[in-house]
Amino acid sequence: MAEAVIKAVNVVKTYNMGLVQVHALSGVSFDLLKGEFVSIMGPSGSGKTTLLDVLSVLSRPTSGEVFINKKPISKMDDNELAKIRGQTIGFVFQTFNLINRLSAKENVMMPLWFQGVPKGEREKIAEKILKDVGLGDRINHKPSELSGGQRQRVAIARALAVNPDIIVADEPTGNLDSVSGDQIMDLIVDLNKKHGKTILMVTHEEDIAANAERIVRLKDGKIIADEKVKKKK
Amino acid sequence: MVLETFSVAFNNIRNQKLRSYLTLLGIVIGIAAIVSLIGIVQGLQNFIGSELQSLGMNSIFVEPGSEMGMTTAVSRSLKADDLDVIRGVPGVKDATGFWETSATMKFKDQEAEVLLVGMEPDKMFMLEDMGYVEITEGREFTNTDMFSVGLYSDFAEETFDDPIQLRQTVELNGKKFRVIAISKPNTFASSFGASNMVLVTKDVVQKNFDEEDPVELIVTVNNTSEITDVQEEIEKRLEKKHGSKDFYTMTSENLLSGADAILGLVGLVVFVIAGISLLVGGIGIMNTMLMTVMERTREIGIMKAIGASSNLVLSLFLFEAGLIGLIGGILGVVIGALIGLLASVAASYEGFPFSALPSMELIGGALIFSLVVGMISGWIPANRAAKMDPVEALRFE
Repeated sequence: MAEAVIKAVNVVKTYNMGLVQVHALSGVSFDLLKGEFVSIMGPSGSGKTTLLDVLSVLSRPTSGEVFINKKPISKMDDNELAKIRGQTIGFVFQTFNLINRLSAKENVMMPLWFQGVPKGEREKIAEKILKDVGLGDRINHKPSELSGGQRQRVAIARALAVNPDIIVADEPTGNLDSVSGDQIMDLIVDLNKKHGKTILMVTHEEDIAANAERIVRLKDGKIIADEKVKKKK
Repeated sequence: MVLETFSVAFNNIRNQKLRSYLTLLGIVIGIAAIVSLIGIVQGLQNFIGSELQSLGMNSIFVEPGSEMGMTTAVSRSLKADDLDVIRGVPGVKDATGFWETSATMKFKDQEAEVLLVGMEPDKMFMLEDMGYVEITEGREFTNTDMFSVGLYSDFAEETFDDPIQLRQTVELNGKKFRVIAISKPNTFASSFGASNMVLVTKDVVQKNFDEEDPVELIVTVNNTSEITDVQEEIEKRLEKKHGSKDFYTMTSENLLSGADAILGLVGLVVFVIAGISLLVGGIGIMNTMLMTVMERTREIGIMKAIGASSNLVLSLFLFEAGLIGLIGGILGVVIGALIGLLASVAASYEGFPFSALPSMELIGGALIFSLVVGMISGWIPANRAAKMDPVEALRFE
């Protein structure tokens, strides 16, 4: 069995909404194995985005522990978590989350800047990856000059810039039409199959989730199902 | 990496032009005030210092009246034989005086009011030592020069339509006098408004104008270290002779410290005003940076999600605040230097040739100070940005 790149043990996440405590996650344990493609599904409010945030060390669990490559994050300070996000995990968001006043290339260069890569090298890497995702002729365009599908490609290019082992995607097709959505999914599947990236994706659409090898279903902050996808041949 | 942080910060400022310019204003005004006013105060200090220095640090001035009232030209409490008393004080090297009166000078049918200054010909070297007189044309005065005058070159050239030449004749209250000496301009006298001084011997004033007594006495001492003792002894003996203290004495050092005290007070006022302006400027930067951090909450979230450390976010916003301060400082220094230049030009025109241009130390200090003000003001906003929770920042609408 492959080793767990992300491991969650009995994770609880509680939010204080004024006087009311909301249990977004109530005791979730989960392993993401190296090279896997896992979809997290569930109705809205089930805690799937919260789980993604905790697993990708964007936020810390209220209790329980998360291990990244076997290292517990509770012993790390915020700067070390930032380093993990910057080197090991690439993020793709539903709303793209590109910086609008920067060009496609500059957006892709940004995570490399955080890792101290020299400017010349950053430019080369960014241009190559943008070509790889099919945006070779759009590198100097600003996000506002690109279509939704193209923006998500820029976001995927940005996620790939530091060549991370894990790609985390939160509803990557949620803001796209079905044609663009399918193209983005093909790209993500390729990353898994051809480039060996471990992928963790949140979605609420069955047919999108079916691109994964394994689907984890969440309800009321708990895992209610964890099953392999039967491939339709 | 540091350079990059700097250029990113600079671009962010450029993207918010109007707001950034308005934010700069407080710092610009504060720094310009500091640079121009301190430059002027320093220039004045240097100017007064060097002028007094040229009088010699071993001189004592004896003036009529009290120190509070400026009664030099009016009261006549000093007597000619006071000089004999002073010359008898141990430690005194030399003593002389000025006999002054006003007169009307006539030259080629034009008239002008002048201040006749009579001195003792055999003590004229004292005035030369102090820089009051420096004869460039003609000859020294002698005791027999009853109808001779010496002119300052600026007076000779500018008073009448035609310049007065050496050896020409002028009339003083109807009597003819011959110009026997031309001195270089006297900056010290003209800076105190006495640009119409004409030199004669004391006998001229005493015999032709019936002014028996001097208006001011000048004493030099053998040893500068004893100057205070000599000053006290002169005061004691003169007071005894006069029966009351209807005079006062001053040394160059007294004058210098008096001027320094006044300039120090001016400097303090400048500091308070500039300090208030910089405080307001700093609050302006803080306000702008807080708004900037708010507006860029989502961007901060994105940056943190894709690997920016809290330290990087902190330094990015600190740099931006520091840069606003520094740009304000640079503009302030330029404007302050221009004001100093204008002040120098205006002062030279009025007869005070001094430089109010800021020194390199002042410029350097002002720039560092503006940078520090910016960074201190940016500290709270930058910290707020650095501590933002990435999840909340990302979902911020």
